[in-house]
Parts: sequence; C-alpha cells; structure tokens
Amino acid sequence: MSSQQETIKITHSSGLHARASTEFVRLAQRFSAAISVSRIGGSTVDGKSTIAVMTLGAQLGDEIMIETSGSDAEQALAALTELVRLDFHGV
Amino acid sequence: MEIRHGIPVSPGIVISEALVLDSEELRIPQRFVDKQYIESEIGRFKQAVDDSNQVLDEEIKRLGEEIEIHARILSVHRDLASDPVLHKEIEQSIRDNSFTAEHALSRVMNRYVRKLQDLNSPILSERVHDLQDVEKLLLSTLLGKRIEGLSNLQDEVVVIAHNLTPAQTAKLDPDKVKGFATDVGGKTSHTAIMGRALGIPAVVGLDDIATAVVGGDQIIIDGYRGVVIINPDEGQISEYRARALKAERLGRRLKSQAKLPAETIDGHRIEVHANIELPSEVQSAVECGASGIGLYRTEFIHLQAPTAGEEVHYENYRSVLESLGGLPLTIRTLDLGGDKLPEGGLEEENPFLGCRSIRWCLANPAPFRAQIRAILRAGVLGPVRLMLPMITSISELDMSLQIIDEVSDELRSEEIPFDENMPIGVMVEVPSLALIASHVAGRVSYLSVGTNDLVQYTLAVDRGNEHVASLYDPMHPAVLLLISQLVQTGQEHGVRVSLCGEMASETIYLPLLVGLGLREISVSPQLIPEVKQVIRSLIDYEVRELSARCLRMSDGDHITRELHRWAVDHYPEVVERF
Repeated sequence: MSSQQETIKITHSSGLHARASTEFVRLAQRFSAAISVSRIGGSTVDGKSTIAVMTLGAQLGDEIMIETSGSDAEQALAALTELVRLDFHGV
Repeated sequence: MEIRHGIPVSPGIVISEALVLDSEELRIPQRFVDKQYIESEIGRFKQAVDDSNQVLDEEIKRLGEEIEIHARILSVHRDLASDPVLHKEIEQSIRDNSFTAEHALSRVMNRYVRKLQDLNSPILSERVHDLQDVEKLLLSTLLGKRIEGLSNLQDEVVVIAHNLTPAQTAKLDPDKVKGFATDVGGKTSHTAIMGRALGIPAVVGLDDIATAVVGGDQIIIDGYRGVVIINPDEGQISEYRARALKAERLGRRLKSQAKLPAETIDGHRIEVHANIELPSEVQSAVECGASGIGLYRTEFIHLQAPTAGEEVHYENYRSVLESLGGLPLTIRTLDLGGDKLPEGGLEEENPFLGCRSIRWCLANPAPFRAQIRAILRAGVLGPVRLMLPMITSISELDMSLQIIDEVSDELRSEEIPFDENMPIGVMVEVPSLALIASHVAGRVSYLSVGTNDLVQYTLAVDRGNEHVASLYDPMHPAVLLLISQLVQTGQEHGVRVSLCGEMASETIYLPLLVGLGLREISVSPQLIPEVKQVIRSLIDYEVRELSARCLRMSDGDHITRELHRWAVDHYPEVVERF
C-alpha cells in the first residue's frame, strides 16, 4: 500500500474555514484512501471529517501536510492539493 | 434532599422518578444506561443520525431552488451530522462511560464547540452555531424517539418541565405519567388542565425545577399543598406514602358517594357544578358527581384556531352536550386577554385593566357573533346558558345583549333553529358590577360570581405576581361584603346567584359561602366529591350564623382562622388531608 504526502501553504484568505473544509472533506470522501491532514506546528486529523478539519484552525499562510495511503492515494493527494492551490474554488 | 414550593393546580400525591423535558425541546432525561443497553444506545444514535439526515435532505431539496444559500448551510449541517470522527467519538463515549446517546452527543459536541471557540477566529466561531444547530437537531430527534417510546416504558414517571406544551403532553403515555411539576404556569395553564384531566397531581410556578431536577431523580409531588421534594429522605417517603394512602382511601370513599346530592343536614340543596376547559373533561366531571357544567371556558377553542368560526364552536358544544346527557351547560363567551393573549393581540402596559374579555369581544364583533350564533344554536340540543364575562357597566351589558338580539334575529330570518329562551347571565368579576347589581338583575337571568378576578380587582392585587401574592386574600372583608350583598340583591330580584371561582374549591370557605346564601357553586371536577361531602355535613342555620359572625370581622386573617377552626371541628378528615 503506497503512502504519500505533500505540504502546501493555505492561500485562501479566510483559511480552512467551514465551507473550505466542507469542500475539502467532500472531495476527500470520494476516495477510498485514508487521508490525514496536519497543521505544521499543530495536530493531525482525519481528512474525511469536517468537524476535525475545521478545528485544525489552519489559517491564511499556515502550512498543512496532506497524507494519503491506500489504493487511490496518488489521485487523492493530487486532487486535494489542487483544491487547496485553487483556494477551494473560491468558496 | 431539596424542598420546593409552588402553586398546587391538581390534587394528589405521587412519589416517582423524574423525566425532565426542556423548555425548547427536551432536556436529557438520563445520563447513564445499564451496560446491557450500550449497543441499543449506539443503535439509537445511528438511527437518530439517519432520521435527522432525512429531514435535512428533504429540507435541502425543498429550499434548493429558491433559497440556495440556506440550502448550502443545511448541507453543511448534514456533513456535520454524518461526520465519521464525531460518530466514532460518540460511540466510544457511550461504550466507555455507559452514557446515554444524548449525554454522549452533548459532551462530544461541547468539546468541539470549545475547541472552535479557542481558535479565536471570528469565521470559525460562527461555525459554533452550526455545531449547536446540529446538536439540537440530533438531540431532539433522539429525545423525540424516547418520548414516543414512552408507551413501552417500564416505569412510571413524573414529568418535570419549564412549561408543558400541548405538543409535548400529546406524546406522553397517560398510563405512565403520574404527575407534573413546572417552572411556570398558573391555575389555568395547560399543565394544570392536563393534570386535572388526567387526574394526577400537578404543581406549577416552581421557578427553576426543570434545572434543579436531573432525569431519574426521585420526586415527591404534593398536589394538595404545592410542594415538590427532590430526592426525599426515608422519613419523608414514608410520611408521604402514608398521606397518599390516606388521601386515596378518602378519595375512594368520597367518590363512591359523589352521585348523592349535596344537601345540608337540614335539607338545603346546593347544586355543585364543574368548571371545565376541554370537552374531554366532561366525562370525569359527570363521574365526580357534577350536576352540570357551571363554567365552560371557551378560550381554548379560539387559541387553538383563531379563525375558528361558528361551526367549530358549534361542533365543540355539541360534543360537550352529548357527553353531559341532559345536564345543564353554562358557556362563557370568549374571555381573552389578561393572561390569555390572542394571537397578534395588543401589547398593553396593563393587560388586566386593558382590552380583555368582553371588551375585546365588543371590539372584535366577528368572532364574538360567530360564537353567540353557535351557543344559541347549541341550545336546541340541551340546556345551555350563555354567560358574559368581565362586564363592568350597564352600557357594556346592553351592547352585548343587543348583539345577542341581533344574532337571534339573523338566525330567525335564516330559519335556523335556536333556543329562543336561553338564559343569559353575567359574570360578576369587577366590584363596579357587584355594586350596581340591582340594575343588572332586571336585565339577566342569573349572576355568577367569578371570585378569581373579583378578588384581584377589589384588592388591586395581581394574582399572578409572586411579590404581592400574600395580599391576595379571598377572605378580605370587602370581598365578602360584595358577595353577601350580591346574594341579597339576587334574592330580592328573584335572580339566581352562583359562584364559580377558586374560592369554592377551598373546603374551609364552603360553610361561609353556603351561609351567605349561595345555592349553586362550580369547582374543578376532581374537587366535587369532597365539596359535596363537606356540604352534607353542614346545617344551614349554623353556617348562616357563622357567616354573619365572619361578616362582622374586620380582618381577613381572623376570618380565615375562624373558618379553619370551624372546619377542623366539623369535617376534620377532609381538612387534615391538606
């Protein structure tokens, strides 16, 4: 089982707030891979839980690390980092 | 152990476990479950999530097209309600601590709420509301289920609430609910009515009983004295058990004699009628020996359906008359305002001196006329009397009588059958009307003293205000003087005088009322057996002497003491029960 990770900076002005975290989690849930998110200098949480991602408290300028493992880990990681890079499609 | 005092609104004594309902929805009834129920508790939680999500889905679909932003918020709620981490933690919490689903949910949610608040981000702190909304939704779903499950509850409970609503009481299994205790309410609140209708003890006006009691606490409710004891000690339990047994025995004995007429030893017959608010109370009134309904409060019909027209009223009266089987029914026209506010009613500085009762009816003639039409028509089905509340002057009375005449003309011209000779009476609730009773007597067929308001308006004491409650003295000499003069005026003019307030429910006052010459009283159905029993122990000339003595006294406390002494001497078994 492959495990991959990537660290990425939050550039969305209001951080990983409720709606952004909703988008993130909804996307994460489409994959069967296990997904975790950590805030650098903070905690690590389940990337498929809105409430957990929300309470991560990742704000503009914070760095997060996304880690995926499982059959579609690669696709999951690519999609999620893309979402963060695109500022969660502006939500 | 903790003792609380409130207003007794339905008699009886009960010792049982508490089920606590919250003001908005429902408070968590218990925190722990037995280990063997842990799996079923987890199952309850999952079911609640499914049910809540279904509700959310329907709502989202409904809102989707029109109000997209709102639908989006609800879809966030849906995500939160189905959050896997949340589920895992709640399940863990139920399993590890034997918590109920409700308790586990609320603890886990609280933790996340605090976490969000600690992040100090204004955007995230708004999400706190979302979390709380989700918590509320899941909680009410869970508790709703539990309430519905009350029908298969093993144990009997007393229901503790901030205020009971009809929606809540409708769900309760009457076989399992053995008492009510609420923070707010009065003698005519929904709790009081339901307590009396179910024949179980109820105490209201307890301030914060809903927060003081935890589900599962042992509770004593004393519906005679208005006492609630939280987690009583052994001594109290055995004391109350003994009292409950005694009261039950007496109640059974009294009830077996309830159908006997209420006649004094020297043969003066007193008609004892029932005050009711709901058609469902008629049956128990008749079983308790009522010789009619002396006061049928009709506000409920209007408050439940403000647009209720003639037919709704008529159907209601028809069903009451049917259950009465030929006994007389006195219907009071709408007595809205004061503490019974009509929907969209006026905001008044001083509602008890404002546009209430007959004043409201005269200002809103449409519902008033519809009701009068229904009453007059119902008169064909059985003996019906129409009663006008809160009249203060002759012009008000004449205006009301004129409307009744006009409505009669209408019915006549429409060839709709109605009672042409229906007795029309007034409630004497304001001193001004009591003082001009001789002018009123020629215009009506009967006068009915409404003591609750008469005392309030004579003494300028708001009966619902706890700061002046001690000044609310039904035995104030001024009140007694008004009643006594009214009875005399009635006798002089050949007009019947009855009494239908709480005053007649106090057994110690009965000898005085009979002594003053009252021959018809109306009380709560459950009190009829003992009221009749007391009357049967009286001798008219003795109580006439007693009331003459009381009328000479200048202080209400002395009068009360005198009457109490008299009661203890003449019918101790009824008085001691209190």
